[in-house]
Amino acid sequence: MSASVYSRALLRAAELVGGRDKLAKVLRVPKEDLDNWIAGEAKPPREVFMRVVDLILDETSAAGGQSDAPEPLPHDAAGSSQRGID
Amino acid sequence: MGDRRAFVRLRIVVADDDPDTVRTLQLLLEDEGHEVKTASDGPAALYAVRDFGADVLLLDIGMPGLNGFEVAQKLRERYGSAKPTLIAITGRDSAADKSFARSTGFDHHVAKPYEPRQLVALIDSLARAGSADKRTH
Repeated sequence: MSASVYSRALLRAAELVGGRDKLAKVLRVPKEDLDNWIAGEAKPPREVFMRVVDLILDETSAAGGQSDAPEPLPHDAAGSSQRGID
Repeated sequence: MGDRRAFVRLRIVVADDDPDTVRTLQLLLEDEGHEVKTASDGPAALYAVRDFGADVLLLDIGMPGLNGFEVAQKLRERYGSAKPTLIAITGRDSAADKSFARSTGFDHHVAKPYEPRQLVALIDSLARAGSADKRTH
């Protein structure tokens, strides 16, 4: 179950950068490791996965994302001055 | 109720890896008049916040991919004070847990098990608190 989260993100990142070889270079990891992570045979290290998520966010944002929103701009619903952990 | 501040329809992302929880919260919040998107893992929560322009993110802590704390940290890194209001939904409820949640960027903390109405009341308070300077739909 959780392996599919990693696989999906890695496959998406590979698609965005132009393939697994390129993604391995971008992430500075061996291609064999990347293949193993995508196959669900191992989990990518935390910092590598964080970079993958950043890459997807950056690349899809630059390309306009999957929505018609030009740039992510979450709203500050509650007002920062009144916040607190209840 | 006595609260006469205008109601603001919020964009809310519900992120939890339990499909029943997600569906229940979605129905409940939509019934209250809010717009809701769902996510079942950490990365999906980040994408949903970005694509949806969320006002509020209801975030389960124990999610696959990135846990709730990591998602919160990532949102704080990327958006700073413009990040959505973050609500942690967690089984951990000690003062230390709350303090840690706050340090990672959470604004509110709801302990499991919780009453759905408790969550709705919190969201309602956010919707009314945000009414002065937010859009109304």
